[in-house]
Amino acid sequence: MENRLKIVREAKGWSQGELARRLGVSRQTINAVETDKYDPSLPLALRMAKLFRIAVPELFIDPWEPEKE
Amino acid sequence: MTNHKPPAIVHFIMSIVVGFAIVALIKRFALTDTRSLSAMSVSAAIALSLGVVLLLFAIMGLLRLAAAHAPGTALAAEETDTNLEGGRARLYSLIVIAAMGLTLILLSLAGPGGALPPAIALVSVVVLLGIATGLTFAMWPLLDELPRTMSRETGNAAFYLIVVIGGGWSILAHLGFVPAPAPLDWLTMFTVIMFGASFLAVGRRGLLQSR
Repeated sequence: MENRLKIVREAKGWSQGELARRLGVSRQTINAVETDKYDPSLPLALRMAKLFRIAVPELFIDPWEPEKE
Repeated sequence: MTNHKPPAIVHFIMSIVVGFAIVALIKRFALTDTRSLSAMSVSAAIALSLGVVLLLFAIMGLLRLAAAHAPGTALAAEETDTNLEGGRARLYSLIVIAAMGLTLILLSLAGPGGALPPAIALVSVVVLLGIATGLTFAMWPLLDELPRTMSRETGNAAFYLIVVIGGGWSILAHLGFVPAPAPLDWLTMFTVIMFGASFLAVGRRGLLQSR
């Protein structure tokens, strides 16, 4: 799933390692999420959103839209 | 400093080539006077070769891990970070691989007419499998969600591969088209499939370069 993690991380001036440390995961996991090779679990996505003080849909972009009734 | 790290698959292929070469040389020159080894079955020879491959792969991994912890290392910074970060988990996983390799080596040398007495092989294999199991449990809390996800994907893929390959072989053997798999063939097959599934799980996410 497309995401803006790299953009918001760099806006904070954090390295991947720094973000990984703050989230309690490995740098490899951050790298895999940023390069769209891994979709994080819901708890990790929520933690990321909380850390950057944004909503999850602002961080992870899902083009799906519900059908109009 | 620019330093391109060869992906894990390259190490694995190198281990396969060197491992099979070592076994071929052992059989050809050093041990041809040992009747039990020269008369080794195809199953035992394949198990022995795979065991040597796994042992070599583990040794190469341990050397890279040691290099990452050594001052003035020549490894790329990213690889050094990765090795340091997951150091203990990586160490455990390499020991597990070495234990699996040794298990296959010991089993290939034991059995009916083998060079190693079955009782000694059994005790050694139980110890090795105990170490591997203990380290696997110890490793789990050290992993974060990405390797845990890949571990589950490996298990899933391995199950279906065993059903297809092992099941397919059994069907053909039952119908008399091919010889039935020997017990050692099953052990070799489990090991190969576990590693194959692991590479599939990691490769599918395009992570072979960063491991």
